[in-house]
Amino acid sequence: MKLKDLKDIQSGFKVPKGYFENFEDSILSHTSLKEKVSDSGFSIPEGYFDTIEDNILSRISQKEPVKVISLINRKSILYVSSIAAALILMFNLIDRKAGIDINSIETTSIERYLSDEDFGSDELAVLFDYSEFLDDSFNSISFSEEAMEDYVIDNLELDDLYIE
Amino acid sequence: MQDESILIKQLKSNKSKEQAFKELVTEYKERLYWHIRHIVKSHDDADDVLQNTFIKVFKNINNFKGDSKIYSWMYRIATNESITHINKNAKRLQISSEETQELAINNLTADVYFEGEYIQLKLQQAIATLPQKQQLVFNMKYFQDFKYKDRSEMLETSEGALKASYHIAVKKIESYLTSD
Repeated sequence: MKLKDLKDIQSGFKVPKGYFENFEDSILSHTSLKEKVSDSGFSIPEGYFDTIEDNILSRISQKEPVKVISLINRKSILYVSSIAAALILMFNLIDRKAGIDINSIETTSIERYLSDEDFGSDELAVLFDYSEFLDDSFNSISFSEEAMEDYVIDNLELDDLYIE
Repeated sequence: MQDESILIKQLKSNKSKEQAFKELVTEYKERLYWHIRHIVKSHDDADDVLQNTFIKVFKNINNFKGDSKIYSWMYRIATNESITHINKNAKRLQISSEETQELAINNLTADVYFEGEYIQLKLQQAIATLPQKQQLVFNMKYFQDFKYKDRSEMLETSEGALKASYHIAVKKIESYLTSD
C-alpha cells in the first residue's frame, strides 16, 4: 500500500459526541470556580495524624466484650408468661368442655356456695325428690352415741333444745 | 509503600497482620480522612468514621478478593461508613439525612476546625444541594483531585458518566454561588 492510499483511510479514533463543543466550557467552569474558592476551609487539630494510628490500633487490640444474653430478661419473661397463661386458659376450657359432674366438686365448695348464695330451705327442698327420703335411706345410716353427743355439743345451743 | 500484593498477603497472615495494618493506616489515613471529612463536614464525625473504617478494613481483610485495588475497596468502605453515620445522626435527631447535612453545614460557623470565609461556607451549601453521588464526584475531583480512572473504580461508574456528572455539578455550583 502506498502512502497516497493511506490518506484515504480513516484513523478509527473517535471522540465522545459534543466533546469539542463542551471542551472550553468544562475547563473554564472548573478553573473559574477554583479561582473563586480554592480550598474547603476545613482544618484539623494539631498533631491529629500523628496519633491516629495509635488510637486505631488500641481499639483493635481491645478485646471486644462478649455479649451476654440473659436467659431471664423482660422480653423472655413476657413471652414465657404469655405462653403459660394461654396454656392454663386452654386447659381450663378443655376441662370445662369435658363436663363437670357433682362428684368432681369438693363438698366444702358446695357448702360454701349454698351458704354464700343465701338459699332458703324451700328452694333447697325443690331440688330433692321425695323418693330420696325413704326411711330405708336413713335406717342404713347409723351413728354412734358418742358421735351424736359430739354433734349436739358442737352445734346446738341450749336455746335450741328448749324450743325442741 | 511496598508492593500491594505483598502487603495484602501480610494483612491476611496472623503473624504479620498488625505490622502490615499499621503500614496501611500510615499510607492512607490522610487521604481517607479528607474523603470522609468532605462528606460528614465536622472533624469529630470524620475522626469517628475514619477509625470505624480502618477497624472494618482490619476485620474484613480476609473478605477482600483483590478484584480492585485495596484503596478503592477502602474508599468504598469509607463512603458507606460516612453515609451510614449521617443516616444514624438523622435517625437520632429524627430528621432527614438532607436536614442533617444542612445542620452540619450551619454548625461550621461555630466550628473551631473550620477556617473558611463566607465563600467557603457558601460552597459547602452549594455542594449540599447536589444529589449524593454528584456530591461525591465533585468532592473527589475538586478537593482531592483524583484521576477519573481511580474515581471510576471507587464509585463503580464509567469514566464518561463521571466526567459528565462533574461538569453538571460545577455548573450547578457556579450558578448557586452567583445567584446572590
